[in-house]
Amino acid sequence: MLFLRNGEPFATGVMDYEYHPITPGEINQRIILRITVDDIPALAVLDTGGPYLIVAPAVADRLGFDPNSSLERTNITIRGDKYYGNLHRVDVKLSATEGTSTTFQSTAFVPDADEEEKWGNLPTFLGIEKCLDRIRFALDPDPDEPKFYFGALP
Amino acid sequence: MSVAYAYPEPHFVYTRLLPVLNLTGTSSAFATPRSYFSKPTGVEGYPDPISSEAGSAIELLINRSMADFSPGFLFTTRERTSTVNQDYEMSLLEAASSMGDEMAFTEVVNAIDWDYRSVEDFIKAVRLALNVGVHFQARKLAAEGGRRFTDNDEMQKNARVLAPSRIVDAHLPPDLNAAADMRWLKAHREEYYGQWVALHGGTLVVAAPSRKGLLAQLENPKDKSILITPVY
Repeated sequence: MLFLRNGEPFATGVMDYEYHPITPGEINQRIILRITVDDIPALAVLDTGGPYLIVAPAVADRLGFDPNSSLERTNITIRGDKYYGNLHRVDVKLSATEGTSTTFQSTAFVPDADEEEKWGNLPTFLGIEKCLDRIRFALDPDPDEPKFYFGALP
Repeated sequence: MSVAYAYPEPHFVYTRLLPVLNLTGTSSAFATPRSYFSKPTGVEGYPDPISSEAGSAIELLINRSMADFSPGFLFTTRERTSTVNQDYEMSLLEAASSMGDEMAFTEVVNAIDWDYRSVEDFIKAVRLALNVGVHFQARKLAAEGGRRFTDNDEMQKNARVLAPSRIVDAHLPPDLNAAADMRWLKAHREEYYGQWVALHGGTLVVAAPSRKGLLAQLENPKDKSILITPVY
């Protein structure tokens, strides 16, 4: 789909994305992708400065994580609020509209169930470190049909 | 060689240091408010200097400006010994973690020589790093501990959960349902903005003002093929 100069594939799949704020009154535009987390579909915001996949409590509720599979409790600050939760390992799928879809395993931060009220309607966040750090990606910011190109890092 | 000094300051030892570092009974521990700290040389009556990784950790802590310190680090400690006191180093880590001082925690982690540390220390340090929210250090410690202690289940679990991401399959077919869901969201965003919707293959199943209301209307809320989301 997209190739490096030496012929090696850079991106093997492409998907549509939305590009707009995620909270009322916000002026920053966000790149919103449709992914699946352990087979559960979810909307996720690309967060190039963040670590892990940070799973929205509403999605975590559907995933039904086994507490025994989690690591230590930790906390992460998102938009100025500190959230407590656990770390898990999940499969994340980038679903292609053309080309090939890619599934990768990522560390996921899952906020505690009682954080849902504070979390509100925020989406899941796709960080780079320990999440997208094995994925090459590129954006086509065409305002009518924005595209997110992706491929696995060899 | 790293050199650190501290003045005995019983008030801080008993009211601040011991409860935090859990050093009750360690009669050789000293503490001092950092504002009184200095590095005298050749002055009689001061405790002997220490030269060790612990000294390095202290050095790092004391070299920071006062403004950078959390209240819990307005003191430093030492023991009357010229050998490395590993429990002391771990105690510093614990103190930094309990104070939520990410910078101090990172400095102490970097000053410790992990080559001589046990698997228990690695596991404890990962836990403390996660508790204080220093995720980069947690991942680094988990990776190193995982490499060194391959037969320890807990360490391996740490290493697995905090491992770099890994490609599982990069040759999966396109997902037309996902594409259809995105098309629906684009077409109906203004109409359903702020509501919760359930979509299946680009078709609206149900919409509601809240997630709770939406789940109540769904025949099978556990159906994994349905996208349940607010409309942003």
